[in-house]
Parts: sequence; C-alpha cells; structure tokens
Amino acid sequence: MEELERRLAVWVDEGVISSGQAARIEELERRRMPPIATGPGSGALRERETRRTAVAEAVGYLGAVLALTAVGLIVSDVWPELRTGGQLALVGLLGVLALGAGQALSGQAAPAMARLTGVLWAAAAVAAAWFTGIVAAELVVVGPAATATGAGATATVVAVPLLLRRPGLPLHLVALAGAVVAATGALGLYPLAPDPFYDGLLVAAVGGVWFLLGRGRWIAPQRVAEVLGGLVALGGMQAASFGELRVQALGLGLLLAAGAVALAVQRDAQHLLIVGALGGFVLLPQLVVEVFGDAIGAPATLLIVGLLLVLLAVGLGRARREVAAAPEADR
Amino acid sequence: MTGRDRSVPLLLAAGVLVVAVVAVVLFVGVERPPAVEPLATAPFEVPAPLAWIDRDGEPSLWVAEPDGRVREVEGDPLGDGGEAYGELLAWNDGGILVQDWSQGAERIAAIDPDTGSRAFVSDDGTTLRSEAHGLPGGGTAPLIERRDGRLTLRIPTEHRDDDRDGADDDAIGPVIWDTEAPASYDVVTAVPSPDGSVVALGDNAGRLLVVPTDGSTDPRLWTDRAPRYAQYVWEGTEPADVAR
Repeated sequence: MEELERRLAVWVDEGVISSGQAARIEELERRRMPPIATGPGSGALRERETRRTAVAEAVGYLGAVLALTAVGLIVSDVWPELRTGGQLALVGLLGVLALGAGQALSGQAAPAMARLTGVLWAAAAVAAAWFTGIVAAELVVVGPAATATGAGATATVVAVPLLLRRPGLPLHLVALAGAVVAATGALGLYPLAPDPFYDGLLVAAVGGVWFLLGRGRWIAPQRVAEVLGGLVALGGMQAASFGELRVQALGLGLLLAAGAVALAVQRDAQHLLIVGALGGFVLLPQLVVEVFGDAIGAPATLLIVGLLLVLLAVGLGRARREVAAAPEADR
Repeated sequence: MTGRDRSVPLLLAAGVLVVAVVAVVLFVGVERPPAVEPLATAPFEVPAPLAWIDRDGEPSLWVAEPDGRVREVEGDPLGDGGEAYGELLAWNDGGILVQDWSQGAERIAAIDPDTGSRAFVSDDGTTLRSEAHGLPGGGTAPLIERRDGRLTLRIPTEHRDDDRDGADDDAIGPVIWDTEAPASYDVVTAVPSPDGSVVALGDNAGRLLVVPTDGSTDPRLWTDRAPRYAQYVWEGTEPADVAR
C-alpha cells in the first residue's frame, strides 16, 4: 500500500492524474486489501477474515464502552476520596493499558484493527493529558491556565508520533484539540486577559498549521487533516469575531473560506468545497449585518444577506460542477 | 507516504504562520498591568495585616503582613475543604470572622490567624455585617477615570448612592494613583484600612496592592497571586452591625 501511495503521489505531481483520481484509486485499492490469498476459494476466505475482524472491532468497542462506563462510575464514586497518588495511578494505568493494547494491535493490516488501534492510542493520549493535568494542578500547584497548557501540550506531543505511525481520525482529534487547548491556555498565563480576537487568532493559526501539514502530506490521512484544519481555522475566526476587531475577524474568516473553495476547484477536492461553503454560509451574514446593520436597517440588511446567500449558493453549485466534472475531463 | 512526497515549502509555510501569529499576539495582543514595586523591597508604613480567602481550587485563607510577607494560614482554618464558608466579615480580637453557611446553618466562625484553629462564636442564626462602604468585606468601589492611556484612581470619602455627576472633590476624595495603564486593566476592589491611612487594591491581573490614601507614594505590590475578585478584611475591622 505504501508503494502505491508513493507512486500515486508521483503521478499527481507529474500531472498524469488528478488528486481526485489518485484518491479514488487509493480508496479502491484500500477496499481490496488485505490480499489474503489467491486462487480458488480465496474470495470466501477473505470474506470470512473480514467478518472476523469486524466482529473483533465491534467487541473491542463494546469493551471500551464498558470500560469507560466502569471508569466513569469509579471516578464519580471514588475520585473525591482518592489521594493524588491514587488518581495518578488510576489514570496512568488506564493510559498504559490503552497504549499497550494499541501497540499489540498495531501490526495488524486489517482496517478494523487499524481503526481500533487509533482509538486506543487516542485514549492513551487523553490519559497522558489527564495525568499531566493532575500533576500540574495537585503536585506542582499551578493555576488553571498553566494546567490547561500542560495537559493540552501533552495530548498533542503524545498523539502526533502515534498519528504518524497509525493515521486516523481519533488521533487527529486528540492532537488538534490538545494544540488548541495548549495555545489558548498559554495566552491565559498572562495576567491581563487579552481580547478574544487574539484567542481566536491563535486557534485559527493552529487550524491553519494543521491544514498545511495535511496538504503537504506531513500528516495523514490528508483529507482528514485538511477538513479538520480548515474547520478549526474557520472556528477560530468565528471566536475571534467576538472581540473588538469583529469585522476584521469575520472578513479574514471569509477570505479563508473563499480560499478553501478556490483550492477545491483548482485541486478537484470536494471536501474543501464543503469546508469553504460552511464558512461562507456562517460568516457572510454576520459580516453583512456588522457592516451594514446600523446604516440601512434590519429589512434592507436581511435583503442583502438573502441575496448574497443566493449568489453564494449559485457560485458554490458551479464550483461543485467544476469539481465533479474535472475527473471526466481528465480522462 | 515517503519523504519525497512531502512538501517542504508547505512545512515552511506552517512554521512561518506559527511565528507570525505568535509575534502578532505577543506584541499587539498581550497587555501588561502597570509596573509597581514590591512592598517587601520598597516599604512604607502599613498599619495592619490583611486577610482574604482564595477560592481557586480548594479554598484557603491567606494573610498579608505589613512587612510585605504573604502567608497561607496553616492548619485547617476553613474545615472540610472550605467549601462551606461564606464571606469574610471582620477581624477583631476574637480572630478572623467568617460566615459559615454549611448544613443550612448561619454560623460565625472565628479563626486564629496564627494557628488556623477555629471556634464558632455564634450558632443561633446570628448574622453579621462588616464595616462596609457598599461592598462586603469593608470594600468600596474605586472611582476610575481613563484619559489618554492614563488611569486615575480615587476612593470615595463617603458613601453615595448617586452617580458622580455634580459630586465635589471632597466626596470623591484625593487622587491616590495616577499611572499609564492599558484599557483592559482595572482595579476591581479597594478596601481602606480601619485607620484610613492606606487602601488595599485588588486588580484584574490577580494582584493585591497597597497605597497611602494621601497619594504620597505609588502603590506597592503585596502579592501577584491574589484572586482576581476577592473580599479583603483588615485586622481591626469590627462588625458594625449585628442583627438577628
């Protein structure tokens, strides 16, 4: 599979195929994995194997739900009675168990096992962040901002290497959330709380970095990184708009959304089109109200917002056709 | 994915984005409170110690000494995690008086500031009020003016229910602090000492300051680890009003 990914990337770079075609080829080949055997009866064998791994995955998730429920009950009952050492031991044990279980499964090629590994490692990263939070709050005795910074940074530092080994959505979520918490927590270390614009700007930067790392194929899956990074960047600008520089924040967010749409058209990337459309539909009305609301009154503002949304929908529809038609034209 | 597939320019772009945003946030977004000298190294005469409860995390009782030292009251002054305790009421010969609302009872606990031991001085529903100028704990709302990036602070010399329009300087009181300060900086509480010679100031940067009421000296820093919003009570503050 790695060889295929390498060759697809070369073909895309050389302009032989589009990135959309590459993604479809990769998806098709991934569905055909794992090649268990060839020859008569190999199809049935493969089907049995797939069913078995699906059952194992389901059992794994059921076990995880039960374990989490048990942990939740223990936490609610026992946690207040536990001393710091007991809390650390409990969280540490959970983290080590999750990490070890993930490691044991990490050699499996089956997609179900790969997904389970990702979930277990994500749980291990969360446990590591929790552990750090307890140490910071109870042993080092620092404030909430420093605790959040430490816990968030730990989540990211633990999750990213695991993500590089076993790409998947859960580790993406933990790593990205950790980076957001660490960045905003670090800003809270300053004695005077800054304007929310700057909190939002930091969050947007984290999303932007994630997007660029995904786009540059430094973290995989590329599409997950781009979608999550884009959404976090847009969410950051939305948060920034609650500060004093509201118009600037909304305008910048709208620029990011437009950039995502442009990139979607250029690279035949429908997932970016969705991200850009979402940003446009959320941010554009706010910007219009903010800029024109006081000057022209509510009815006229609503009219402008409505017309702009119609225009946006038409434009996105055309962009979507461009994206959908591109592979056909390539053929 | 191989090293050859990865885009170094996009990695560099991510790095540039981080540096650029962090620089903007640090140089434009972050504001700092006015600098003040610590009381311990630049002392003036402070007539009495001051106490407050820090409710960040497990509640704890703190005392700032006139020489600039700040200490947590040892022992278990607030009892049972401190969750049950209400407002600080006074600090007289009996100790630091704290309203206790635990178990539905209105009780007054007197806490020894040196040992942390406590005794209930009232358990029959008595309520006390501190010697107040409008805020619990004997505090008052400081009068703040902002102009051209400067902050001017006065303490009202008498209790007034109306706004400041038409008030004369005697009612407003003298300027006790005039300093450059960012717009986000605020002094959130001011508590005059019982003899009226100094005022304890709590600001929104989590600092406890003390300043002479005649404005002869700039404020001094007692601690930069005070709660952002807290009640402060000076030693010598008597409960002015006792009612059943």
